[in-house]
Amino acid sequence: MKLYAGLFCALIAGCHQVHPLKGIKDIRPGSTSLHEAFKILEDPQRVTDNETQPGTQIFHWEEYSLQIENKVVAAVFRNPTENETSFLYWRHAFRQSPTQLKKIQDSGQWQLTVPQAGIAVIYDEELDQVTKVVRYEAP
Amino acid sequence: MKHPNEWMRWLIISWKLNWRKNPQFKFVTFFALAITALASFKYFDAPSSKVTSWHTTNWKLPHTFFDRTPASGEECTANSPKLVDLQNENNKLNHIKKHAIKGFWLHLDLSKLTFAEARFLSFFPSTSLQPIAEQLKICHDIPCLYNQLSQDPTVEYGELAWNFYLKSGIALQWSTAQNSFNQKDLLNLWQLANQLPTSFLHQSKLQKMSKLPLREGLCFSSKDSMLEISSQCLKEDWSPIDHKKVIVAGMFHTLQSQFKLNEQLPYMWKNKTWNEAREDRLGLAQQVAQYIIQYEAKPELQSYFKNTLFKRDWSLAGEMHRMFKKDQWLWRDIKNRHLNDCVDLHKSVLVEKKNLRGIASLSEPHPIAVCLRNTAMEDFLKNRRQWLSQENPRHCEWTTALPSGVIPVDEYVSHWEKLLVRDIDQLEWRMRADGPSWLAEHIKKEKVLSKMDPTWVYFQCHNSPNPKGCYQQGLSGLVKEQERGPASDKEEWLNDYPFESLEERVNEDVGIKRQWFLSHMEEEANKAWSNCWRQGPNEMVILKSSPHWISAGVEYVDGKFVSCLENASAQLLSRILRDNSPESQFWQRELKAPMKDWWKKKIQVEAQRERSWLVQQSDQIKAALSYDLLTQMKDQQHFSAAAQCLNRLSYHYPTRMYFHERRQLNQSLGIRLCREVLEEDSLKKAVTSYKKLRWKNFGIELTAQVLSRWEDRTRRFCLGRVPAQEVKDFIETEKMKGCIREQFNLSWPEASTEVTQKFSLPENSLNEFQVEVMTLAESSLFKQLQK
Repeated sequence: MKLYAGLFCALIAGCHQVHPLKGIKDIRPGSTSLHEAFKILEDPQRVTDNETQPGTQIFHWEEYSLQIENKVVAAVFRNPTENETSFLYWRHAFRQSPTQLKKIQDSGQWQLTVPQAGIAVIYDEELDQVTKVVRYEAP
Repeated sequence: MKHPNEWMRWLIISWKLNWRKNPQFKFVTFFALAITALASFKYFDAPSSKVTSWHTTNWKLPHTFFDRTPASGEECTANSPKLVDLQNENNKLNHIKKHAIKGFWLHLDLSKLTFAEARFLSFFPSTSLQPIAEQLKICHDIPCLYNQLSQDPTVEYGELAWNFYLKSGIALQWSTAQNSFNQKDLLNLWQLANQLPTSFLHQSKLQKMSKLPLREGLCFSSKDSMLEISSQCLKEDWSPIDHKKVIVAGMFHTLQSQFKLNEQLPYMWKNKTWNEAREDRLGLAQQVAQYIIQYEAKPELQSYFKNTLFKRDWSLAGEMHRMFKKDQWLWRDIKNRHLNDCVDLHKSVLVEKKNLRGIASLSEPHPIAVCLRNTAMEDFLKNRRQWLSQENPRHCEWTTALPSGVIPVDEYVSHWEKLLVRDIDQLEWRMRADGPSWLAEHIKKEKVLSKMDPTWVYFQCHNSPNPKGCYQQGLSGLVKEQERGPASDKEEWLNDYPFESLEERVNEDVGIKRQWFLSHMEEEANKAWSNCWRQGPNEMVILKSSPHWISAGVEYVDGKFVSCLENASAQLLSRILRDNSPESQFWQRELKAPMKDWWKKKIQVEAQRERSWLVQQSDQIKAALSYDLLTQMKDQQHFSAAAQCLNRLSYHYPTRMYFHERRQLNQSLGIRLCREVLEEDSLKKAVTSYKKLRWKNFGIELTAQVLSRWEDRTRRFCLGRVPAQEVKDFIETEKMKGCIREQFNLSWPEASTEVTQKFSLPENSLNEFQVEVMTLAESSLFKQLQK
């Protein structure tokens, strides 16, 4: 009886435990802290500081980067997969969602934002392909 | 000096035939060995800077040759072509007659013109020239048109402009005399066409060039494969070097995307916007121009330009090394051509002399070698001297003495003379050593080499990570397939096709062919477009993966239409290329980017056309929407025009839209259309009437339901045990008023739900009457509370 009670308590305690992060997909911009992110990610390959915005750093790995502001993940950047390099692919992927398309000032780049999903796709006109996929804090 | 190996072979032959039994053997043998030793020492002591190794694989130019960079601003102004050479070259480049371009350009029947002429004219619509069509009737070729339109009567003008197009694939815009390129500009362009790498030439991203005034501070601007050069930056008082730098910078800037410069630029996400520190692309273009025209760049870029981006050095030294690679190929061709003739003339010698291989035969000149020296060597050296000193676009630099007094062309030709003597000597010794079997071997080798085309191997290896290594392996494999002989023979055969020479040769041919393939590709693409267009769009088809051939820029394209174009792209290339040879595979890779560009431009044009058309259709769409909203209000008990407008609008867009998705269209055009429709007086009136009707239908019931609950709640939670005679004063207090209002808010949901269920209305659909109900019910409530 005591054994069953103990197991039951352990089960309850396990369910109440915060669900641990498993990978980059679990990292939520706006809520995941740098400390939590580093629990699941390997050491970054390089770190860049932003001189114009103190407190902001970008940690780079081979396939993705994290922008950290005040010790919280503000954005997750990744390169598009081979299947995702065409901008037309993203126009179709988000055709049913409200989107905003704007040209980034003084550059040959465009940004397609899906505010509800907290995703932005960056397209470079000169390279004629998507160069980055950004996940940021969704409302 | 002869190679020691050859001396050994001669000794062995002599030993076997003559000296074995001779008593003077020891003396002669000692003498021969001494000569051999001396020759070896002299060979290894020879300064390698002047003389090459005699293995043909090691043909080199001394590195110190012409290592001179002109000072900044220095130039050779005498580099200009002779008219007859220009015309000959134009005729040679304009040789493709077969094409499918049809139509008329003013009085000119395009189907009767050469391919280059027809394609050129297709870039310039003739409609703007109709007023002067009579004046242009005298012209039957492009140079004449240029002369007429630019009002420069010199024959050179038209030929230069035409030559520039034939060499580069870039058509110079003809415009007013004030704005068109003048003859000085054309001379600069002629030099550039001969100087620029093939990555600048015959590219679909740069097809036209014009000269016109641009805004202050801007020397060039590019859009839609047209490069505009500012006339302010081609001023008379600027030097030709500066003019050329402006043009090259503009060209590079236009073509930059195809160079795929690998940059890792810092970036950041700020205020929900991507921020990237863009490299100064303009600065890079200027550095490239500086490197190509003045052979210098910033230290960190110099090595990158020379070894990675262009793999070329434009200084005279670099040019000479490049020429040397091409000339190796030319020597091989000339030598083999004359060798075949010489062999035919003197074939009997090889047979007759087979028994006379003793030392006495060495004193006689070998007739085939003599024949080669008199024909091939002379032919080659004369050809090179004439080309470098008269026909070469940089002939002035080749014939102008260097500070040391050396004239480059003389040194170059004299160096080649030494190499040719060595090469023919080597051939002679081979013929002597092998005797009649040399002839059989030569015929066998020529037969094998004639079956294999090294250009195919080149095409196969063109895009591989190590083109030269791949090429050598490929050639080796081809030789093995054809002939199983000793490996050393095959190595020598491969020396006949040095990679660098082939690379130079093929790249020049490819440039001209590119235009032809581009033209065919565009024609087939047009047909494919029309075919897919006829099949119509289908908004239910969604792209699941990135298309391989289609680029749409930032435009949206219907899924069915894209799939159709994607399938058509692969098919149209196979129609143009017809087989799966290495050359065809090469062109399949080369044509991918131009095809993507073509689709992109076409889609952008058509998408903009569709947008304009939609705007024109706005009034009809609005009328249909307005009628729809009115009908909905008439037919339904509950209908909110404002809330449902965008949804209803989706049904009234045109059915055949290729570049707009309905929901996405709502976000841009739709919001405006709805706003305009809802502000129409007729609809406003209809909405007001509709509201009044609903109030008439539901207001009384709603008010009654609210009132009963509101009174009950007010009595229980606000009045408590207040006596009836004191209620009137009590309810005037602010506290009481607040409580009463709160009880209304709490009563409303239940009452409203009761009514909506009763009349089968959507939930919360009566919320618009909340204020009216409160106003109406409040006075009744106060009366009831005072009873």
